[in-house]
Amino acid sequence: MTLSFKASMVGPSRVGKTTLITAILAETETMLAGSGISLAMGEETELRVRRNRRNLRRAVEGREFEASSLGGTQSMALYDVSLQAVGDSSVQIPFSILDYPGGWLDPDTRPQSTAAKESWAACEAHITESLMLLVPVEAAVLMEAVTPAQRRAAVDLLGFEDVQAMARKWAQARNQPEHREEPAVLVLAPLKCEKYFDDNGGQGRESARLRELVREKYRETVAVVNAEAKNRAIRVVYAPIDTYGCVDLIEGEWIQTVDVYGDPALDFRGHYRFREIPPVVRPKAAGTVMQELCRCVVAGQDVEERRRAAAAVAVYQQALERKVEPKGFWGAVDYYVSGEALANRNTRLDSRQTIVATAQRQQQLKAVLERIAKEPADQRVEEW
Amino acid sequence: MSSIREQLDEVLRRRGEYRPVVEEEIDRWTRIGQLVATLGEAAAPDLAGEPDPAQPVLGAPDTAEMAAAVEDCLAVLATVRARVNRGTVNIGVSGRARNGKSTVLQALSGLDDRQIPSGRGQPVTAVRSRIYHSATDRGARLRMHTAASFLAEVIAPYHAELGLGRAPQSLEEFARHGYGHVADGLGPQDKPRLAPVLARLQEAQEAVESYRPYLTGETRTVDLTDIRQWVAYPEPSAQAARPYLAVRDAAITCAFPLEDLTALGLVDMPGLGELVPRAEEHHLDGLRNDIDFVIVVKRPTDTNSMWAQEDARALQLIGSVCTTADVRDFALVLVNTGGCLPENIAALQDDLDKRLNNASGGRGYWVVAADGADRDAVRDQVLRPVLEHLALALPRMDRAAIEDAVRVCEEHGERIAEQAAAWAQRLRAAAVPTSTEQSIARAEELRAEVAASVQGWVDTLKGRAADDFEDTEFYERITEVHQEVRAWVLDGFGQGADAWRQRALNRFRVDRASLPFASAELNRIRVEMARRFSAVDSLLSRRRDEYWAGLAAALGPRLTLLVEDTAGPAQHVLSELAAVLRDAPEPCPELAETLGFALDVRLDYRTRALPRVRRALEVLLPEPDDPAHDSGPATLLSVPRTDEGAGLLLERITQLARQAAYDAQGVLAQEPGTTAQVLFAYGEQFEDAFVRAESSEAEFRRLVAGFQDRLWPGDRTGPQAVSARVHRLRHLVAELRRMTGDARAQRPETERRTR
Repeated sequence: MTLSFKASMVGPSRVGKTTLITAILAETETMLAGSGISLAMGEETELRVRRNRRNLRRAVEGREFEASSLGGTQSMALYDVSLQAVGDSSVQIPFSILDYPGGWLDPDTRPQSTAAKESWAACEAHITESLMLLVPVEAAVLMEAVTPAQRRAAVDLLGFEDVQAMARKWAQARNQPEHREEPAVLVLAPLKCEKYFDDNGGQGRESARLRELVREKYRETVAVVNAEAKNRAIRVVYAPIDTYGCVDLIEGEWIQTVDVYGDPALDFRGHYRFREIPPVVRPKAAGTVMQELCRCVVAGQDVEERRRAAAAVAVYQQALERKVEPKGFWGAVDYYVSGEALANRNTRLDSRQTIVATAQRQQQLKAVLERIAKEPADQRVEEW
Repeated sequence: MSSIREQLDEVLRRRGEYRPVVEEEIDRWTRIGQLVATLGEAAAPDLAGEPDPAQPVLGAPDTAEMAAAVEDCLAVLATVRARVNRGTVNIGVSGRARNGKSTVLQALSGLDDRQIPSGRGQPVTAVRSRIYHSATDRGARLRMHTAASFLAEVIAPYHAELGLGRAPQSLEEFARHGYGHVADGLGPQDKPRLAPVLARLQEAQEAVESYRPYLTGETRTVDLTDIRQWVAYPEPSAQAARPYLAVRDAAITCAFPLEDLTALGLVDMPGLGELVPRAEEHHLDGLRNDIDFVIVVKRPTDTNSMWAQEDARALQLIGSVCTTADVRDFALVLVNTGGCLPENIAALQDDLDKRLNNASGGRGYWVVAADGADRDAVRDQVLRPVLEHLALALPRMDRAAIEDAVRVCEEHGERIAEQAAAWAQRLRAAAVPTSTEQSIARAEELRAEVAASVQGWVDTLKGRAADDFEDTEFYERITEVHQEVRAWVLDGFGQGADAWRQRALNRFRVDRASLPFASAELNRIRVEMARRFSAVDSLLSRRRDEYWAGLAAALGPRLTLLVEDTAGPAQHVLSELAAVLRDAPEPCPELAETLGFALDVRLDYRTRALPRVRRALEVLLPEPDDPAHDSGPATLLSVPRTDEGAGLLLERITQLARQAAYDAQGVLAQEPGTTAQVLFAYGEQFEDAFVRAESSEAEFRRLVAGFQDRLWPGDRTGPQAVSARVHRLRHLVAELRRMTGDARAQRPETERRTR
């Protein structure tokens, strides 16, 4: 498995996860502007993001666009992004965000899926090592469900069962002894919140209702997480995100359909318009995800430094053994933040000047990381 | 004579003293009779025929027996009253026709044939007169019939006697009545008796015009020289006038030929065996109520010299009414010897000695023989001895009559009192709640009944206010209105897309700008949409009406009995009920106010939904309220002034309008739940205030106290009926006991006066 800082994401497909990644990247790029640090994507991730940006452009041309109907995630996807020193790809902080079907958690249904059988082991390892569990929520499904039937449908559409099962799995892993000292954050992220806020060009006044609904609907999930992680603390962050920042919901359409059991059900389709012409994409609060990841890394570094001090009085051999067998989060912290990568790099360099320059970039990256981590969160964002 | 007069005057004076006591006693027994009748009605089983739960408690007291006892008392008291009310000592003269009764009356009174007709052949006395002695007055007072009394008292008895059925109800009917065929219908046995009766009736019919003018009901004063036509039958003639038929009774006043005479009256008793209806009944009535002494005249002619069966019957009738005195104190047999053969006189006297006086044993009947036409003989041998006798006997007879009445009343009174006491004991044993207890119990029952019912209704409201309750009808109506608005939007706001674009283009050219037109359109659309969404008002009104209907039903059928028109709308029923409670004799202001509160529910679109709908429509404002903070739709509305630009504008305004309509329907879609919660809150508040408020218990008691009869209209059966009847009977029986007890309490006084 690639050494990286890991996060897992669970939510219905078509909720706009790629758009969320796109928004996260856009806001991160804004945060990195002028810092000498840039954002790099893995090949697959870049393809997805590029496709998403193309669709957005098309929608702008089409003057109205529709969010796809929601449904459970059917396949696994891995989003790889890294903070990278400009001109030196070896100086980087790589992040790896996994999106996988919640249904795979059920051992009864898992064997029915070939993809699940093939990928479950890697998937499980990723979940176990994830610092963050990101739960994207289609805000409109929560907010536009006004009749009892629609509210009942929203429960299915938002995949509460899958989310809760995933949260339990992740919290259990975080509670394992080897991960207890690692950071852990659960991010509840309502998406496409433009209609409900008035702080990003909109006229919405329903932010309080959205917060209450998310709190109410995910109360049990949060409780499960806290219950499973009884030996440690887990940050719960509420981050309502404008993924576009330039659209408004025109109409929410509740469509009669049948569920997998053949029972009558409702699907939701949102119809959006652009607030302005030409539309300017202005995501909001999406940077919270990267900010939280950076905080995890910085917090991990602090812990690691305390560990080093403790190690100095410990058996030298033990310390040596632990250091020579770096793995998981601590390995990544050591490797990318504490200088091991630089040391390895230096052995391959023949120019002292280059060594100095690279060391400077490493310090620069670390400073950026710390700056991002310490930047005040968006005002919408709350820690629960 | 002076001594006799004084004694008789004393008798009359003492009688006058008894009058108020007797009247009082009659009045009391009349009231006892009414009370007994009321008791009988109150204790009688329900005539509806349904099982009467009160009957076992009440028993079946024999009020019929009590009523009969009261009748007895009143009858005996009536006789006493007739006796003490007489202002004169009355002597009746009785006897069968043709025995010289009128002759004796003439002799006693000093009148002659012109005033007291007598004659040979046919009977001549048509109207029985009373003749009163007066040393100064001389004349006659005739009390005339009215047409009604004539028909009822004269004609109706003829009809009854002849079996002719219903008597005529008017003189015209009487005059037209066909009596011609009646004689044909008389059987051979009845004919001898009834044919003369019929003849009298026909005479009366034929002569109706002769007396019709006198049927005035007035009292006429007639000189004694003219009295005969009013009291005697005319000479037989086809066209004879019969004014005597209009005379109800006649009172003649004249000076009797006896010195130093007291207040004395002579009564011509109807003769037994006369061919007039109810002869015996009238005779008995006269014996009982009109006279203090009777002279039976018997004239021994060749065919009448024996004491016949008819004569015995006459004495028997006298004996029947003479229950408190010896009949020999009351009657005298006058053997009218005038014009009779001595052997006939001797035969009669012999017969009287043997068959009358010996047969009775002991003291014999008083028999006097005198010539009835011989005024001196009548005065000296008849009148004077009779008056001497009455001077001694009347005080005794009066006392006996009064004591008899007292005894009868006492016995019946005690018997009634015993029955009433037994009945009272039985009623006391029936433990039934008092009216106050009943009223309180009913108030509690009603309150509990209303509380349970209202709680059920509030539970229904609560169910509708629950998160998972789906007011499908409401949502469908909102969807319907939204779809109508949406269709209007998509149809170029009711004008068609092409027309709208053309209009837009025209305005672009006029204004050389797109914004003025766009702004105007947004304003128009906003106003129109707010108006169109008011269509949901009908459903809000329906929910409010359903709320009132539910409340009216929850208050239960009993409370709505206070409302005259329950068929109208529930709002009207509740308003009227509130008014009744507020304006009641015992007002229930808190209950009325609570009903007023329930009637003040406001669910209309303008009050409830419009403010939030307006908020949803703000997206259609051309400019934001705060341009510094919000750019508004300005960039969307600025389009090229071309046909394509007009299409673009239509598309963008349509999007804004769709969004506004969608948001408005979202606002309204919350309304069913909010409305249900509002109604639930109103319902809970109503329930608390109506049933559980501090004043509720007291006001329910006032309500029941004020409207018990209306709240329980058919209150004739069940425990309440038992209670009501028992209480009523207790009251009546107590009153009866008090009145019969009074009878005993008054007895010493009565007896004292009697003695």
